[in-house]
Amino acid sequence: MSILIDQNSRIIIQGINGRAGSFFAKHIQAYGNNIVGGIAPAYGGGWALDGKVPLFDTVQECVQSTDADTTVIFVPAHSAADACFEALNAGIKNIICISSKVPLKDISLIKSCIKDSDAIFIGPSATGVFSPGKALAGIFPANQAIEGDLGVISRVGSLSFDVLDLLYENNIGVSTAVGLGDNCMTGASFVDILDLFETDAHTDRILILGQPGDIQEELAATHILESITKPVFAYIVGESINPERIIGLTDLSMFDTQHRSIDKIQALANSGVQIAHRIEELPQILKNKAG
Amino acid sequence: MKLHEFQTKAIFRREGIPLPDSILSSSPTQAVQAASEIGYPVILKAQSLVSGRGKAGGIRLSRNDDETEKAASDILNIKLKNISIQHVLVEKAINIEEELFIGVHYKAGTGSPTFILSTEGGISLEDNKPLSPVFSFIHTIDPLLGIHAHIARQGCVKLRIDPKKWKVIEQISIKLWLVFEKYDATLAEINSMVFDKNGHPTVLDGKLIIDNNALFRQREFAGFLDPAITSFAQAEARKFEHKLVRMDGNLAVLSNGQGLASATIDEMSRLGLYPASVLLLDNNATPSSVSAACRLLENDPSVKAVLVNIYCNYSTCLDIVQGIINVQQKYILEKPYFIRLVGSQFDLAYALLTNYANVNISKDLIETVRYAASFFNQ
Repeated sequence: MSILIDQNSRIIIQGINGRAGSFFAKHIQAYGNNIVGGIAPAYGGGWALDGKVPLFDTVQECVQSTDADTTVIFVPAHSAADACFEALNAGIKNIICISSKVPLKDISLIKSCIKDSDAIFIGPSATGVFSPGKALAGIFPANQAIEGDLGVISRVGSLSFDVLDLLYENNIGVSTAVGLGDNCMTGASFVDILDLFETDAHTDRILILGQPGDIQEELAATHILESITKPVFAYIVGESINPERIIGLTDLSMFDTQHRSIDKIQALANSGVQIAHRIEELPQILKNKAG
Repeated sequence: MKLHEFQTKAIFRREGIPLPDSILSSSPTQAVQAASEIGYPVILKAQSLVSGRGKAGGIRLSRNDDETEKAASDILNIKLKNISIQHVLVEKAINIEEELFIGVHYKAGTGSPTFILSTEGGISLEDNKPLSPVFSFIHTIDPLLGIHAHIARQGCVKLRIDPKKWKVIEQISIKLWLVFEKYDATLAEINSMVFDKNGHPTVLDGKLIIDNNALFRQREFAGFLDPAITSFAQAEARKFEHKLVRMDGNLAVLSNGQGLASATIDEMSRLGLYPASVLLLDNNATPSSVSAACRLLENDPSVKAVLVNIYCNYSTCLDIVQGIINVQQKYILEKPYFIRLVGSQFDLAYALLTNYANVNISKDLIETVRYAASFFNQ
């Protein structure tokens, strides 16, 4: 089993005609997924991906004729909120927003609208959801991953691809990997996904990948102590970063002076989470607990 | 983007938040002129985005022209975190009866705006210090509903504020919310609001931070000089949607994710290396945008070498390497490149680099960092 998506997921791509959208739609389809439709306003009735995927003007029409349940969004930042609301209103359950640089106001509004529905909002700037051997709804490199019992939740971007490669090289299988995005505000959080893994029969242990900024790691630490029974492992990067050493100002969260990795690691360690201080340590600590 | 006090006040004034008269000046002569128009006593305030202006003598009371000239010239000589003060705001001095803090921001971990009303002094939401639960009212706002009068009133009741002041506090709280909402702020702060003897409110200071990601619809601020950009290089990086942060080490880090860059810095620090700068590429890096990034690093004298760590997903290894080589052909290559790449077309990228003596390429980060360290230890 897996969380959020599996071989029966009916996936659509919003922004399928864009540069990134068309590139990753091919990538997702190549993994053997069922892409049931693409959204491209004014191109409805046409076809994408060599005539294999029907295009629709609106998500509503698409859902009516395809029963789609998962969307992967690649539209420009200024249309991202609209795309998410459109998916939500059409009844899509998994709203996965890959678009980056989305304003905080928009993220906050989407979160407010989604909280009373049974849909989940992942992103923005997400790397998406990937259940190896079953389905891919995101931009994870898919060729190097095997099915297994480890649930992965990530708040880093391309570094999570490195981690998946390393797990593969060490023959460690993954039930589902969820890339929440490295924004300072995200839809679904570590806590939300921890709960999904806790009740997933095929996930036996959980790995979280974090970085400086926000307080998701701290909130996860409290939640793990209170409600998570499965073993949790963590690799939180940026331990050595001293934000005092930057010249000038920045809004990059990796230089956040208030939410530093050293504190996050401390909080997680206090909750009994096994910590890897460098990526190379991951296979070792994961093997320890497995035995 | 953090706005200066005078820019914040211009927005507040436009939206009907009461403020004392003030005039911006950039020389002691202008300050004296401003003070005579406003009328003594006045306060002179350094316009700085770095906190700590009060402690550095950047806020001064003046009762006459001599004091004003002296204060303005002192303030314009202050440097905060190595950034010199360009402007002094000359403002009517107000007799303070009672101070109040009102703020709205996105508090980490909540995903919603948070409204704060407080009678505590010296609050700065940016500093994120815990607020006194006794003197502060903290309320999570549903962004669909915004701030209504009753929310501010609940705060007034909790903080035992004189009921005669409730109406004004409600009105100004709503106005602050409108500013926050309308201008895509991530933080809007009134610090502080005071009442004079007749009960009239005035806002002495304010802070606004505008969401950089919302500049596409906040055109007014798009033309403002972003204070985070202090160098030509940063402005150039922004053109390609790259992010450049300068640091005090000597090895530049070029990467395509904050997590990957952070992991790189961790690995470097184990061998005693620290970044001269961190340059993050846009996801859709092309050879020309990589060239532009490398050119900036080539021209920066504090960069002695460049460490590249990129996981190629959308772009290929070949794209990245072609970008780097383009730079090296146009410029005399003085700086060594230590490159770690993962992704498609690695072998082609590798083959392309065999003729370059100053370039080292690998799939392994630790190996790459070790090479860089041995260069610096030579």
